Amino acid sequence: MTTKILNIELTNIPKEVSGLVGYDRAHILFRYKGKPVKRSIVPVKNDQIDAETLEDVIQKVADWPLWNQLLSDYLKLEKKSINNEPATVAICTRDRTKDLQRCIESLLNLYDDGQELLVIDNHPSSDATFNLVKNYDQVRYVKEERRGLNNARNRALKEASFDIVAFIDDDAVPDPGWLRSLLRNFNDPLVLCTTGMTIPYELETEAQEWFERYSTFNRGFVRKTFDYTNLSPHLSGNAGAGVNMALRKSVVNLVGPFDEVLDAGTPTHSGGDNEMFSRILARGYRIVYEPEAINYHCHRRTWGELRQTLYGYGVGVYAAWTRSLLRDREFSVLWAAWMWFHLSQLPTLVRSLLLMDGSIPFSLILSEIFGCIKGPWAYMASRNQVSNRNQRK
Amino acid sequence: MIRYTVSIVIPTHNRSASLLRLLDALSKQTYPLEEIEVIVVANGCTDGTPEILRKLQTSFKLKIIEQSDQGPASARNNGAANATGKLLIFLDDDIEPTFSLVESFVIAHTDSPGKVAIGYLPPHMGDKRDFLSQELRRWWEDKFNAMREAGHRFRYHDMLSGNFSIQSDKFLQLAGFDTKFRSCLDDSEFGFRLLKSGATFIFIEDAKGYHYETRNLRGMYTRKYNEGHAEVLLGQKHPELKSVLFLSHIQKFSTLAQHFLFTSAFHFSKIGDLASEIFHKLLGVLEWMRLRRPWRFILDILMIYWYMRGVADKLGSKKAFSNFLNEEFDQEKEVVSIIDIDLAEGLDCAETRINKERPKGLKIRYGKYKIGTIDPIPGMECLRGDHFRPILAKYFPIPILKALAHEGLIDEKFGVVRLIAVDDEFLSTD
Repeated sequence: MTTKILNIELTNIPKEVSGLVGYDRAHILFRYKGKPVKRSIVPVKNDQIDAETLEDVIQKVADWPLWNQLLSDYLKLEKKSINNEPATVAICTRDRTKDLQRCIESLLNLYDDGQELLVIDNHPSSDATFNLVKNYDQVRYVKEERRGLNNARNRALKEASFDIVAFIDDDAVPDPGWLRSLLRNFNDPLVLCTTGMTIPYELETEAQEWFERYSTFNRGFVRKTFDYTNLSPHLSGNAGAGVNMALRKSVVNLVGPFDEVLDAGTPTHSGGDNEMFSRILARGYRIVYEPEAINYHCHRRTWGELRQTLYGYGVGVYAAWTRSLLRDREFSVLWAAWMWFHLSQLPTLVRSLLLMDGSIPFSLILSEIFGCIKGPWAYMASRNQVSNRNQRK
Repeated sequence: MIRYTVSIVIPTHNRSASLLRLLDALSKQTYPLEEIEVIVVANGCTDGTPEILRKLQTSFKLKIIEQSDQGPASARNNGAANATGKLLIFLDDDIEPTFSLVESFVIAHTDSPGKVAIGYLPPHMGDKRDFLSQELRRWWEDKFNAMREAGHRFRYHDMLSGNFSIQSDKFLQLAGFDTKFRSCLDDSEFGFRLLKSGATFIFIEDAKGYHYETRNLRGMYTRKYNEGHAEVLLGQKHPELKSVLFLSHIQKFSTLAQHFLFTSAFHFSKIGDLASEIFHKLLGVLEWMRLRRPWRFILDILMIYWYMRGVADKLGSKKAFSNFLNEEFDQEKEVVSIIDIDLAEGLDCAETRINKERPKGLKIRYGKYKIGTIDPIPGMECLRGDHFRPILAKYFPIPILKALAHEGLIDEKFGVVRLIAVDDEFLSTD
């Protein structure tokens, strides 16, 4: 099964979509005047989606997000931003020049609001990244020798020239309006972070399809403001992910920097972004999810990588929870862990053991659960590593 | 910019340290200092504030007035009576103004003369991370977030005496604050009279002063008790406000616990106070474990209890309470103006009409389709044209879309059949 990624603008609907050679399905993001309103998976027949199917799909995708846009059109209401200052865009990367090049090229296509582009090269094994970045005058290169994604993120917050720093992964690509949409939501001084909608860049392999089904970055088509009144800090994954987020630099003073014990480049594999989100919520600040801030993420292509990713997520979540419990005395972590297990993980596990329809492969859910079990120990190990490293200095 | 003398009135009560911080910030204003007159009213100070001030060298004119403790409302009136400027700015002694505060107020009054300008008071919490500080910060910021929003309709309680400005003749015309409101809500009461007199409020984000919020939990109980007390006064003075006061909604409480709270506030306040003390201790434990949800639940109970205690102490008995609520009052001979709006005539046309007639309520339709009504709410400013579209978007999205669909103004292919079938109460979900 391979799925083609398509965008369809509802003010300019094609009669049919043809030339989809080799694809079984299409993942279509529908937009109205550029604003995302729904997505849909549509079967491809004879290398095309015929006019009738397309019409049917559009009837079905017409729902509140689209109607809301039509209403704003009628009322001529547009959300205005007080903040007109430019921002910094940071890419944290390590030894992935091919992905990075694609990311930089597309960052150059962002609407020009005077943004600064920053590449943080994290503990590189060669000069490859440096050599790539020096080809782009518009991009500033900074090397961060201390290994770990969270060290790179902290460095970005330190290096940035502007008050707001938007982060994008090196394996992602932004929509031209991505940055502008992220920045629009900082009017409320309690908002320290905004997140956007991430959709797949390609779904060419089965592993990528499963990632999108099981672990999508998509958080819906309605703007949402999260704080402790409507989201438990321990379920901060619902607010977004590090692949598509912007932070106020002041976050470092208000809730602290990213924790270098967590995330890629440490035994905990991931969780650094969500741990930051949970601290933002736990200290009484806000996160806004903005569906119009779209970027495209290239999911890992092979089964091995996918299993490793899900294992890493499990480790990261439990490592971050361990941190909250030990460092911030957050007792409700225990409740969150229980809820996740018995509302989501256990039923998924049972369904896939019984080989029920639409259940995910057993090995994937098992990887995640193994990761969860490993999480607390990974956190302790990582903490020891970091404190040893800091002592040596 | 036009230059004229501005009088800044600061009531203070035993807070000389923070008062000095405030005066220091005033000496750094961007507005010409020789046009600034500061009037500090020492209201029953026992910490030597007047002596400290008399020794102070300031680059602006400083008047010091002493009075016995009669509450901040009386102190503000006293200060205003001694002011010579044509513009008054009121600041509380726990505020630290930014350097452009005075200038921003002056500009605001030049651009929109005759208006009441409400400044921005972001809470300054320092390093505090406790749950209560977070609650208070959220409460304050949301109050200003609402005022920041396009089309915000001001209400009497948007008036905050900590940082606002008004022309002195307007202030004197309304005889200033009502000194019966000694502990709180003197500003809300003044806000009500201002709106009733036809004044327009504006929010001035740049007139920013940091508010050093120092209240702890016990301070909150006192505050709620005082609020209960003051809301009774408010209802007695302005009966038309009764229906929007919190105490009018208390009888609708349904759970046993709420009935217990209500009854104990009136009849067994000793037991109630004891229970409150136990709950207070419980809050400490819950916060230690960072269990916010139960913490907020308990805090809510305590807030309502202390509010009710204030109401009960003011009114005396349950019977007096129900008399208070059910008392008939002479509705003033004011015609409550509600106008009919037909969206089919166009939004611009509707806005022009609303601006001309300044109604309190609206009946909205689109041709033959009923959209909905905006009922008049006591203590809320009359409608202006720029309130209109945000109100439509907020309260009537589905009825409007359905009317547009019926009129054929929405493309058939965008799910018109389903749109027409959705319930008016349909909420925005994903």
